[in-house]
Amino acid sequence: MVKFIKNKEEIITAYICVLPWILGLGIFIIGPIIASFIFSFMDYSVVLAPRFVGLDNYKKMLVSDPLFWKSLYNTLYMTVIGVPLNIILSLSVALLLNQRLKGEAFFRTIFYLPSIVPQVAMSLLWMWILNPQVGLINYLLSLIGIEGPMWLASEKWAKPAFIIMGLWGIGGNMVIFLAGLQNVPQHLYDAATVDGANTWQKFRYVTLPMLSPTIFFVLIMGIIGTLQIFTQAYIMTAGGPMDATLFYVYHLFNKAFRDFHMGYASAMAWFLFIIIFIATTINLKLAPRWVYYESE
Amino acid sequence: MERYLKVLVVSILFIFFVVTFTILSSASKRTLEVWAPGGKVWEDTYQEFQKTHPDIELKFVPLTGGFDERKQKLLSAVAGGVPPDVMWVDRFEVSQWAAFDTLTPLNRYIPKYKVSPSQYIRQTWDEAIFPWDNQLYALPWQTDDRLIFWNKDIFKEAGLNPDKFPVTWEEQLELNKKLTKFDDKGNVTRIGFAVVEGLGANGGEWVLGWANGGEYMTARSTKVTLNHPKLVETLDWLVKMTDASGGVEKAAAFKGTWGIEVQAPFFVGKIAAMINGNWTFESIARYAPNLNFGVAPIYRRDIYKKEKKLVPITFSGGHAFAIPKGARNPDDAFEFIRWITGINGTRAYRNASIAFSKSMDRPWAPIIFAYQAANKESLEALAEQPVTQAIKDGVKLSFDLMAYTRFRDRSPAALLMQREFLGHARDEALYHKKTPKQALDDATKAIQAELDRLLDEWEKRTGKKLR
Repeated sequence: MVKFIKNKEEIITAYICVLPWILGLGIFIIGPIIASFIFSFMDYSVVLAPRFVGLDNYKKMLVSDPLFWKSLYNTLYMTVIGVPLNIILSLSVALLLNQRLKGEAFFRTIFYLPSIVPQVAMSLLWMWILNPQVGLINYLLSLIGIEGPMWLASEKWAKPAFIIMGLWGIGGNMVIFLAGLQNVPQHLYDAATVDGANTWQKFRYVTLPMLSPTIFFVLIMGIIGTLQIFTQAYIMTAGGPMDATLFYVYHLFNKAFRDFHMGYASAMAWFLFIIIFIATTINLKLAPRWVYYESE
Repeated sequence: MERYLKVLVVSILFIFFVVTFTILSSASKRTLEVWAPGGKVWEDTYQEFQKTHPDIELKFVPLTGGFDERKQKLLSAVAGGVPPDVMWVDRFEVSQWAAFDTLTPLNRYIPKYKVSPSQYIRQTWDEAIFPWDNQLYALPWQTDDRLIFWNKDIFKEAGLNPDKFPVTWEEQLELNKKLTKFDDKGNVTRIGFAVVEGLGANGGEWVLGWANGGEYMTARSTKVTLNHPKLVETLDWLVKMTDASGGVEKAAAFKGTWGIEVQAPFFVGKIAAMINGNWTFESIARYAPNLNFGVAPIYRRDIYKKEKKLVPITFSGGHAFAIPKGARNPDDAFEFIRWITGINGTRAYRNASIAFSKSMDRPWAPIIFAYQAANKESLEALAEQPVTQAIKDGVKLSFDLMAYTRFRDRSPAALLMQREFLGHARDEALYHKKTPKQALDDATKAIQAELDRLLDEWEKRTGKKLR
């Protein structure tokens, strides 16, 4: 066995070297996390001294803030509908682009490209695409005789519009799925072929199980990411129309940085943490039923 | 061990130097840290201050980012105990800053520096007073107001008298119906009379509420009266107006096709008439100098209905300069805000902005200063500008209307009120989710709850009783 640490002096030197990082982690990450937990039990408006209010913030949040529930609903809507759609579509594209055909690299680039566009630029672009009068989507719909909806101006269609826009950025997940597909051993397909499996059976009984850890990862990251959705709504709709796109983090942002209810906002942040924690735990608990790890 | 010591010694020495340097540099001169807008015109103005005040070292930090971001920066600085000496604030937020105990009351400086409220437009001065303690917390710098603008060519084309804008709400609704246009698919291609904020108008809601005799809060801002019957009636009319131009969804979709500058909807005939701010004059001069437009005040509907008399009403916002609590150099800070809002500062700003416009080969039109005497000079300067008579007359009208202007009720819940009345509650009515009455009742309850919370806190802290 190699002995890494020689003497005390080296230990001290090592600690001095990592000190900036430890300080940064403590001051800028762990510190605020602890502070936000404490503030969630306080009435705190930044400039005035915080006042302890017990569970008031949590009570107010759950009982007397209709926008809290509305924003939670909006966010869960995006998660429940948006995340599975995103996975299905990015997996499908990955499967198509895994066919070892001519121009494969070109198409992979094309599909990946949108996901490197910054959120702000993407939002501005999609405001044009989604414009009901002059936008591309409604124009295309009109070609097949459908009168497109009002998208971002409509309470009903604003969230679906965001989901569609999100599907434009499947490139990131697609790349992850492609990597996963490369890892499916060819001999399993060969064996399946020998056993007389058709394409669907190969997909269902070979590809999907072998890909399940990747799907699991993408699912968890997708849920966490979508629960924190903010930028698009901030830029494109300001939470409207009729709070249809007031997402959880946006409501939190309004409470914290517009009304200066830092205590309340902290409570919201911790509640979101609990939601994410529960969602992830459920996923982890369910995982053994469908996620297959080769090493097991 | 030796290496460890070396690192330690070097770090200690470094910290020692930084600290000493900071102390020395701050002690040697009377520095004044100012957080305010940047850009050529402002920087020229600050330079003029520096020239006339050589004993003060002006440290200027440009405020960047949007409304929210600027506020967060100032708030963190004040909370962290390192506020600037002077900061630029939106005047209608002064009460919020004051309620949070973040600003220095200015009353004690007024006699010493020979500042008098009468030098400023009364409403702008009053807006900087926090109604709960009646202290002045900022000096007003600039202001604005709202008028009706209309496109005379479109009026002529529709067979209307281009020189007269209808006065009653019934006539205006008719006008809106008549001038709003749709394409064969039912999309809006022109709004007849834009009165709703964000859908072609600016400040319409506030001014129309007052025009109708509505009040948003009680005099000392302790009670929200947003569900005032006259305001409910106003919102009801706004809903009718919006429905007349295709409904809010179609109007919002139409808005997505608008451009800016030379492509602005009013300049290209996508809006036939609108309630908008006096800054529109400069835009017209710059982007649509040949626009055949008319301009008129908004009139008090309540008075007109009773006495058939035309009494104008308008709405002003604007900015001010304040001294944060804990500023290290409050005396020089007051000298700075007195200077910059006063005759010399406004003159420096005007000269700089005229010079800047000239250097960019743009026409110039004045903003409205809070300082009364400054506006006389602005109009004189405008007379020499190569802009049309219509613009000159319009600017003159916007200046004269200041006598009739009102400002949003001052309260720490002002921003919430704005979000409800120009946003959430209004939209509930525009989208027909609630009746105007229901929407405003609910909003009143929500704002009052927030206001009560702030009042409780404030009364407890100051020991004063307002209710």
